[in-house]
Amino acid sequence: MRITEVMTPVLAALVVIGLVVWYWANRVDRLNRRVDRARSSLRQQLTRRAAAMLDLALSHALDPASSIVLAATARRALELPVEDVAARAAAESELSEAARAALGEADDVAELRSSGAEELVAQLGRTWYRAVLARRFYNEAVNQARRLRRRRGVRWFRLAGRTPEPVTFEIDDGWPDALGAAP
Amino acid sequence: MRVGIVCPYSFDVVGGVQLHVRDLAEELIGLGHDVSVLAPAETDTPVPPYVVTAGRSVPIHWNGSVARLSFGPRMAARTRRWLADGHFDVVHIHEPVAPSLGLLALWLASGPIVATFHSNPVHSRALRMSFPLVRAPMEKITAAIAVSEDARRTLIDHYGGDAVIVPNGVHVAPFRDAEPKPEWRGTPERPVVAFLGRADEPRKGLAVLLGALPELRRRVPGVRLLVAGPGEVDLQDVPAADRGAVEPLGAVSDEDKASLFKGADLYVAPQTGGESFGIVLIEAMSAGCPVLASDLGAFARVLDAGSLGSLFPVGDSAALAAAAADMVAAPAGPRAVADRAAVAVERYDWSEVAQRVLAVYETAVGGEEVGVADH
Repeated sequence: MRITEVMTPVLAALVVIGLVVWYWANRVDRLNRRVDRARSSLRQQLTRRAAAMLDLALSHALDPASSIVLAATARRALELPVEDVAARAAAESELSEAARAALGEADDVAELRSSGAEELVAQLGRTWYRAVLARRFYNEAVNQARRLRRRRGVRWFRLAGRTPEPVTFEIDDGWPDALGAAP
Repeated sequence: MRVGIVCPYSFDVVGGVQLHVRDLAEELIGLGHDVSVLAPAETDTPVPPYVVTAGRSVPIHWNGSVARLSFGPRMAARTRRWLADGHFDVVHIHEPVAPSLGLLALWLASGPIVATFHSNPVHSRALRMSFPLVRAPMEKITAAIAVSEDARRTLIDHYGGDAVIVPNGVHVAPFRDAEPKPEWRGTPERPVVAFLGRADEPRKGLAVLLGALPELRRRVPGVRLLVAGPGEVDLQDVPAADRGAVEPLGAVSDEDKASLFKGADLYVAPQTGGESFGIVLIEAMSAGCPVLASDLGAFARVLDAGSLGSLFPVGDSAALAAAAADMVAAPAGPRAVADRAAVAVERYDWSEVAQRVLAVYETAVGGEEVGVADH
């Protein structure tokens, strides 16, 4: 048997494996970049939400106790990086809870709106809804990336490289019913 | 914002997705955004100025009906050019898994991609075959929207993705403020029951409604059945004595549709499947017309499990006849329900819906603009 007769199928197999690996590597890379983009969008939307709460807290529209709690929790959330997932998530959940308590019931919000805080309340609703969306999209990207990383071929060829496995961002961002239906 | 919208189905014919794309584009333009829509259409089909036509489409059986789809190398080249020239901040692809411009755009685009899932596939076998082929392109979607819980379930079950729900939009005002046409207006002696949809498309369920006609006529002898929508109305299975009650109107304009609902005593939606939303139900509700619909998941949700309209078991002509006769014979109750429904539909108004779509765009848009991926 000549050497070429042995080598031809071996070479063909190598080329096919190479193409498959290249395809998987592309997908992993694309999903990693998507997770990065989603994370930066999440950071931006959470920052806007906390900033909207801070604005409301400093506007003298709320009672002093609510104002202080809301301002303090908003500041704390803003100081923690999104990459420190556990700490930031806990702070964001606390912020949601503080905001729901500070807003009260639907008639309290109606009073708040009529006392000149209309735009601040609207801003809070807008940023809150966008933060909810950004978190859903981020988690979706993370789940897809993790699913792909678990595939055998991706693990064998170490296609994920040194990028740490992303984790979903789990917080309580339940919509405050006092604001009415979500925008 | 510069928004590129991709519609997979041809503008040559009227359809739910096409209308949704048109309304969304006009709403966004009205809010001051820059919008370009890429859609299949014949060169002589009149299209709005913001539509870039991708050329002709091929009628193919897809998801339980005949859809006009566009594919092939020329379509890919046009999609690529549109993406490259548009400098979009976000590209919004409708039905990205339908084998048409949507899937092509998803395959070709890079950057912020928003996708809206409309349908609730009934023919899963053909679709199952397509899963492995679309899974990789679907990983590129930055933000997915489903128009209903049913469309979202389909996405989760079949493709392993998730989506936020933004309902379909309706222009409530034209329906609310429409004037009934005298010749289509129901009277106590001659009440009008309306049907809307392609007469020759089985899943629209006209046959179920026609099957209920003899019993309905027995209880309400003067009833008129107005059938609006394209396609031949097949009266073969209707007893000759009852055929006179059926009045085919053919395709109707938007104004006529609103007038029809305004004057009708009952709108019946006998669809048998493949519906993920029920926009026509919302239009009828906007006009204050009582609704009787098959109990598909999507319809039950729009009718709030029956508190905003009545439901009957899918495909059950006898149940339809009984419910319709009750509603037409004693209209006070259904009218009160319809008045409540007319208020409840405000949340589907385009002014609300467009804001929610914009919120999704804002979270999807990052630093980069839409471009063409290397292949």
